[in-house]
Amino acid sequence: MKFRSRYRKQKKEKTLRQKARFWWRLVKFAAIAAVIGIAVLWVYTLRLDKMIEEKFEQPRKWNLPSRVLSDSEYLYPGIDTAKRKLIEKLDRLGYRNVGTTIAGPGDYAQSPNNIDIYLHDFSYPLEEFKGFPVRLMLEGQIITDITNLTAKESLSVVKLEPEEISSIFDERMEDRTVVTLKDVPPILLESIVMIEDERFFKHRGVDPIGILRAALANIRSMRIAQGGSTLTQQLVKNYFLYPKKSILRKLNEMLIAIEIERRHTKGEILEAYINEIYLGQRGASSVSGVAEAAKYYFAKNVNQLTIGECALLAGMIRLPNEYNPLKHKDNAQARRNFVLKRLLDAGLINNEEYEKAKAEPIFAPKPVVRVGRAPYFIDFVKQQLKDLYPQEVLQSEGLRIFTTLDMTMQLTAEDAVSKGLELLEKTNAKILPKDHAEPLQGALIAMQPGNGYLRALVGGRSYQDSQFNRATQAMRQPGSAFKPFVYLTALDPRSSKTPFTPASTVDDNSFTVQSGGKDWTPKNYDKKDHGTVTLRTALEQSLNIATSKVAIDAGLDRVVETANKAGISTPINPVPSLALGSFEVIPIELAAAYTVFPNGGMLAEPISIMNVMTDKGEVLEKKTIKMSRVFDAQPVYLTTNLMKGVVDHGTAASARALGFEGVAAGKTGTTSNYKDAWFVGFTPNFLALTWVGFDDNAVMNMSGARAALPMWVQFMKEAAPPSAQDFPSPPDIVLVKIDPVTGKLSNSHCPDYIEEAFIEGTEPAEHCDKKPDVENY
Amino acid sequence: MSKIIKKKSLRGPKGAVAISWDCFVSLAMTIILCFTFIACPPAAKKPAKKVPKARQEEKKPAEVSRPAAAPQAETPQRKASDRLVEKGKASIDSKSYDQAAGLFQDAMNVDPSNGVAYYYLALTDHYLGQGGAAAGLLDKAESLLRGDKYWAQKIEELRTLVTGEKPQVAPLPPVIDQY
Repeated sequence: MKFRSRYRKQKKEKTLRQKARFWWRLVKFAAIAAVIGIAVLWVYTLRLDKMIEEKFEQPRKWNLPSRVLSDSEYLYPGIDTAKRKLIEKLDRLGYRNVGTTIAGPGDYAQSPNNIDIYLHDFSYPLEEFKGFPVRLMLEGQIITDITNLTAKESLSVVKLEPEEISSIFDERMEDRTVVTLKDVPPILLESIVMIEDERFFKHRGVDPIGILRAALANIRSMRIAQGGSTLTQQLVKNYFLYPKKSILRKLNEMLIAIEIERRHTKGEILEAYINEIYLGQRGASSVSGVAEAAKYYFAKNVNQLTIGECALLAGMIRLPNEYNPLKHKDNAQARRNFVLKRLLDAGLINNEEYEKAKAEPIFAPKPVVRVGRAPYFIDFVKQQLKDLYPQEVLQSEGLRIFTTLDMTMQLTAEDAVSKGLELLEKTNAKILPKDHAEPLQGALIAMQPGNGYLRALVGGRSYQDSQFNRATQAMRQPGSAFKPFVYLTALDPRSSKTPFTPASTVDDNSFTVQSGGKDWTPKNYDKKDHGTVTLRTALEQSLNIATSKVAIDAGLDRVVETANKAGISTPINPVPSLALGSFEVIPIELAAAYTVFPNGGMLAEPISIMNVMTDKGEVLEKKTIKMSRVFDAQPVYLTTNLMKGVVDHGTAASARALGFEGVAAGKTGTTSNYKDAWFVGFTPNFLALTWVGFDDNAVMNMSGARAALPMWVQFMKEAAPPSAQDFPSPPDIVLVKIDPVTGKLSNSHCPDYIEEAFIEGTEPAEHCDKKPDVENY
Repeated sequence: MSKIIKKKSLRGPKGAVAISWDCFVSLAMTIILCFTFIACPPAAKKPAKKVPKARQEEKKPAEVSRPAAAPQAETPQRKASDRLVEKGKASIDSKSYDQAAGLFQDAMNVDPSNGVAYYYLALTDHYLGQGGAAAGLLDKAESLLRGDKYWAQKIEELRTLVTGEKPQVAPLPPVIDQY
């Protein structure tokens, strides 16, 4: 018995010992695990610390996209608001049509007699513009008077801010305007805190009470209605982590939130939050932060938002696309009113403010997706920026690139090219090559000769289909569009080997000349010889034989020199065929070279980027207008005068038939075999070049006058008002009445005359006697 | 009644006798005049050479005229541009040359024919030590302001400054005249 009881006792003791050993082992294991866990957590926390330090505690927390801006638009009496498409421009600038009365920045109202605009604030290089309300009085569509509605004073000019044409993003494609807490209305901050995390100032990153409350609410509603995430957690989720939901991500989110709260003040966290938060989508890029959202949804700076707008913005955080006022006005209104009620209940607004905010109609600007605006121009600008700044700087530093682009003109140009090409294909289907693999292409370049500003650029008919920029990258033969440089050389007494005047005659009969060991025989487009003709006739009618003779007599090397002085950089051989443009040029260089004509012999350096400014307003790059005299004014004037004849009654006379009015000069261009069609035309203050052709140099059987000129006319009629003012003439120019056929002085025997311009002292002395027997052109 | 009166007046109191006398005197005068001309013919003249009109004109020098200078019209566009020029001038006064340059460029943008804007941009370039750029602008200003003696002189003065010795450190701007 004793033995049995002793055995039991021993067994019990053994079991107890075993149990104790087990527990001891467990405790030891747990302790070790805890120590290891703490160590791991400590290491992990250190890693998170480092991550926070590296990402969050930098002076620049976000990569800010650089923005490419158009030129600003000046409005003054005399402007045709319909032609300048002012309302469309206001819509593109994000102004809101508020009906009848403008109340704040970004509003506009339209009536038959006036347009009221409350101008936006804008930071220009070296100028902080403060917006004010203006009234544009109209007579028909023409501005007759401008009044500053605040100061009640008449203004002679008012400036509309530049349009944002494009942004240069990093891979995250986030559009953001960074602001500080003091830039944001307190009611917006209060609304955000109240609606998103009421206990923000009470918790330390993670809010167990909030989580519990959310869980209970979710159980009650039998769906996931509330998240329980604090503002800090939301910031962490958006700023540090990936959007995919997982337990690990949630744990990380909590840990980082706690760590951030340990290292930063609530103010710092809230400031980061209002700049980080996702508030919707604009095309491919996201609208991030309240300041960018204020601009996008309300066309205002964030400090200009009303209580109602603040409430809506705060309410949108939860479901930005659902409550988007541009798309779902009713949802947005309901959400805003819900937030306003909460603000009222919390005593953050009084009853009067509540009623007023609730009664505010929601005026959202027309949604504008910026993607795809002026794409060829943007590529051209980016190409230049590449030489100035590395790509990562452009994607992160929030630079503002002010360009010379006139957005209204650009849209007109894009329209003229695409519609012009469609029409050509329709009306010339019989002569165009059948089943050609690639479509007919076109390009348009518009410049302001007086300052070299590039105002519009179209490099093809569809950027989506082909990004090759035919305006800036293509190398095409200019054909007859080069002829003005031959005549400029010939008419320049300091350049030409043989003296010529516009009335000099030249033999337009076939000849053959040796060129590069081969015979070369120029032919006219009409395959005819025209006998003796004046220089004017030769250029106006684009006669190849006569022009080739002029080039040879003036000196082929001199013609090459003229082209180089005008800025054509592509190689040109001094061979007779150069007179007919048998070499290649880049269209933008040809357009720039032509600016010497309206500029009286001065070459203005083409400008497309005017200024580059940092987001803090520091000007990094500033381009000034540069022009230098490359030709004497007199021969340039004479050549321009001849080119006026081309438009008035020469190869481009159809421009007049198509309704183009006012003083203008220009030259058509058609290459041999009809591969390229050009027109370069200009008024005293504006120049445009159009080109039509196939990328693979296929024959299209259309001349410059037929293919490129209608497009030019279409664009110019919209973009440039008819010029009543003539090209300014230099001194020492005289006008003499001459017989247009013989080039001799007109008299009663030859009563038909034209008033031809000459450099004083070179006018003809010989009188017209008898007209030679020439055929009419 | 009128027929009767006419008859009376023609014949007079002596009727047909008065008419016959008048006729005789007229006839006699005609015969005397004719006789005189036949008897005393005028002194013989060299027959006038029939010269074609064109040949006569050959000796004439060509009639020349000059193209009219572009008027500096006070259009709303010019007024707007001038307003910007005024603001630019104020910026020059406060030595904000970069800002002034921007305003003159804007003025040129609004009205590319405003020669005054080109002049002041050239002046600003000069103050900024970019005399090279100013020369071309002055040429342009000159072509636009041709015929204006005041501006011709101003342009010439500035051109002398610009193309003369290397500009010193931006001198104080002279008092800018009204135009």
